[in-house]
Amino acid sequence: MALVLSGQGEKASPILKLGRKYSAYLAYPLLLASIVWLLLLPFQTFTRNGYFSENAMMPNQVYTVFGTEEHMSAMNHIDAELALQSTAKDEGERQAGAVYRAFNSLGLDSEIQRFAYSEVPGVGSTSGINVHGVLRAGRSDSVEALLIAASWTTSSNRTNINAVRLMAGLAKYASEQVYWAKDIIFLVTDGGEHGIETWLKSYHGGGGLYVRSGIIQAAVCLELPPAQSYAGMGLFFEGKSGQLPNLDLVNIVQYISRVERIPAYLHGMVDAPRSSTWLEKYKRSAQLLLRQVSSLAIGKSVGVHAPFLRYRIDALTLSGIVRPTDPVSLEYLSTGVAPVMPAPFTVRAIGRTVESTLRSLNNLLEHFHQSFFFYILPANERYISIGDYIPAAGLMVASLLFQAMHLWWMQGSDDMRSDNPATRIERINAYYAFLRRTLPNTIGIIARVHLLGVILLVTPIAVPYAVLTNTTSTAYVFTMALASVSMVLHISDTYWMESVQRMVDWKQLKAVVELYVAVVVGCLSVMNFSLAVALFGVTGLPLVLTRVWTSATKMRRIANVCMLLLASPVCTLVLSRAALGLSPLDFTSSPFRMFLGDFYHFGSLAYPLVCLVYWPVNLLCMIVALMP
Amino acid sequence: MKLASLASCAANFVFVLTLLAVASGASSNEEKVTQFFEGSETHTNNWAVLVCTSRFWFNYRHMANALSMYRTVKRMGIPDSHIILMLADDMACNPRNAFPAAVYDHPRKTIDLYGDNVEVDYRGYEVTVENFIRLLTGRVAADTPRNKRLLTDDKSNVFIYMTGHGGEDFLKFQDSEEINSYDIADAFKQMWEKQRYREILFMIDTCQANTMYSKFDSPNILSIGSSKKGQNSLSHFHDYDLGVSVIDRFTYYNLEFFESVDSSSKQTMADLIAAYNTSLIQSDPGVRTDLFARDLAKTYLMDFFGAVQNVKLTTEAFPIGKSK
Repeated sequence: MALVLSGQGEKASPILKLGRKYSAYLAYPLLLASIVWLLLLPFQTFTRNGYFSENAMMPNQVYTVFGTEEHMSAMNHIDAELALQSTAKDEGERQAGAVYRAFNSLGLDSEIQRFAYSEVPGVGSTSGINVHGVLRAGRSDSVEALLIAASWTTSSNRTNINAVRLMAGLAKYASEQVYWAKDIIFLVTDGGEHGIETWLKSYHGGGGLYVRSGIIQAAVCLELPPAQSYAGMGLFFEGKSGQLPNLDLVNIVQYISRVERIPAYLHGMVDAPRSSTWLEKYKRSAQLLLRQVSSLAIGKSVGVHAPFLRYRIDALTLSGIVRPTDPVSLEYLSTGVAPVMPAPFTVRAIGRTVESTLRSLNNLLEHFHQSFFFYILPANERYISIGDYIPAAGLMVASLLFQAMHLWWMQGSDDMRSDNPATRIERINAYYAFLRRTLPNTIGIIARVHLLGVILLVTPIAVPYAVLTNTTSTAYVFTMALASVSMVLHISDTYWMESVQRMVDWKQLKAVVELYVAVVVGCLSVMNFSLAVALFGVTGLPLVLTRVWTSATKMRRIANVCMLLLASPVCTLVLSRAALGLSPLDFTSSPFRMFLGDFYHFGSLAYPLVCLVYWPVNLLCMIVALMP
Repeated sequence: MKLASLASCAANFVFVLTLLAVASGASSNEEKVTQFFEGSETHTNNWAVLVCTSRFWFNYRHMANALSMYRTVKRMGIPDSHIILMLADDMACNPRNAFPAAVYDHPRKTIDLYGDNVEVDYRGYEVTVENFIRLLTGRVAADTPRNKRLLTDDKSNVFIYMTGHGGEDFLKFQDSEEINSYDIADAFKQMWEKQRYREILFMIDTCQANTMYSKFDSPNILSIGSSKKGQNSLSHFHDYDLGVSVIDRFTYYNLEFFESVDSSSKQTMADLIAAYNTSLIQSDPGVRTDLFARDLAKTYLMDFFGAVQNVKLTTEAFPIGKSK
């Protein structure tokens, strides 16, 4: 209370007086500085060269041997097994059976796991099937393991048969070697991320899995769509809730793949050539950073590595890049059948990359811990560490806090802030009366709006049929939007009626909401910087810019509300379809449903943040704009 | 008293018994025996303490350094009973080793350092600073087995070789502790006070190795380090089958010199030091002679790397049994 009071009276300390004087002007420069900071990140000057932190890894210090006739023949064996007449009732069983037999014949301890999951909680059931084989490290004690995984379909919805073939080849190679200090697990799923998640849950004590090994230290996921050859590989590493694999893993894979002449580019993006202008380089870096930030904020990436990160297993996906003119790929796209092409030309190089990576990981003595777990990567083999990007979030939070401080001091009528010592007691009394009158209303408004958020959050979980399909979930979101608009109009209308004594003060409301957003963004920024920036972009930024005028006119209010509608969850959810590569009016995939599914299955934060922060704060901004 | 301590020297054991029997006879014989040992300029027994302080697969080369040195001193005649070999990790049985049960110091892999007849006295986590200092100063627990004791006396020449990761005035043991140059200097001082050596050759291959002997203040110590202060001691061969470097440069070039040396050699320490080629070793080996009384050009390599068979030829018949 001392701070509050001294703000109102003559007892203020010099620092507080200074703060009071300048806080009004500080919010905007800080906001600008944070945006400039973000815009500076893609410049090469502000990034650092990647390096290996962990001594034990020794990447690329071995001769690679993958690609012998035996390995190729093991790859062919998968096709032979798939071609066998089978009594299996569906495609999944047939494929799983083929892989199971192929793994067994290579001497792996194999097991088939059947499971069912519902994409959205409580709605329907999809069945899936996992097969895994464990190659035992004969001279070690099965306390640690490495994992190679593939899903039967790639993220671009093509068959991933080439990756399964390669895994068989790698299993053959690995079984010939004596130098494994860790078991190697080969895992094939037909349920994508859900399949991996189910498998991991069972593996880590969930039950239902009998062929087991030790602690999994790292996982490499493969995606090789049908092609005659690959132009390179895309490297994807983003997990849910901002989780990332240790930077060492990303670095060694990039380094090894470059030496094996099948470079793994981050997100499949080749760097701008060295000779290009700074603008081109900047644009390329910015594009790569944007992809990472959106991937991390939404929690969607290419490949099936994301569930591993939740179990503290460092993982990434290597995805073969197919040239648009590739004849095999074109044939597959037109006929829907992958031509039998057991060993695409470049698969040997990919196999050797995985081999060399496995040997490097085999050298690990303890869990990855030396290098960064928080980073963004502006170009191949370069990085921006958390220390270099987090100040942007700090500036954002500071901008919110300074404006909140200023608004708090400026709330109520002007005569409460006079410097006249004679009226001190009256002023303090008036101030207390003001707070006692307005604060409960402010808290009440915030609570009511958040109640709506809670309803938004809980309904789909309590009544799953609300989001049965993408169409119903879209309808649900729009219904909630209508309810929200009427709530905004109702609340802001309520306080127009009384006139003698103000029961609310928009400055107070805005200050409290700003504090709230500052805390959320600040805390989130150290966990998931990308999500924090995105959240600030849709809540904090409009909030700072809400009701910046001194006197409200009708036109200003309308303009403000229009801006807020543009930044509203419904609007951004529709626009984010475009980010997901869908038409804004295509309702076959609803981001809301996706967030919900990720929250339910992977504990992703996007869904609760949309329901409990983004949605309510947007409404509160509108209320601030429309209040008397 | 001193005669009794000689019993510790297994190599001369039988001979000593005979002498003792003789010495109990006449006082003139006793004098002769005393003269034989004490008047002698040279040492009567050799010991070697070979220490690899690093563990983990990527430090394969440090194990190979120590094992190469072990193989060399053994070849030149120091028996296993006089060699204390301390290896902080086991590379031969490491599952990552593509050549199980073998350790090589060259990608050519002609010599298996772990082939047969390797006696590791302190292994794995037994290699600690405490154990090392206890070994040197002789303050070991009563139940310590004989192969873990340094049973030297004032006639012992001791070769101490250390390798591992170090820095200015320290050498890391395992992954958790370190010995500093004062610790070793103090241990040597105690050894001198307790008459546990006649001369010491201290050789160390680590980064900034020359700082490690800078604090010595006991007599009769000759020290050789692989690199000066601020310098790294670099690895030599990388083996792409194993995926690790297999030896350090300084040790490798020492061994290369020893390949031309056998137990009958008259090569001196000065020859060895003259053979150091800084452009090959890629660091500046250092030698500290101020504590060492003898001229290096007259100090035979065999004084430290080989085992003495103290045979003294006499021109006249040596009276045994009751004299007339």
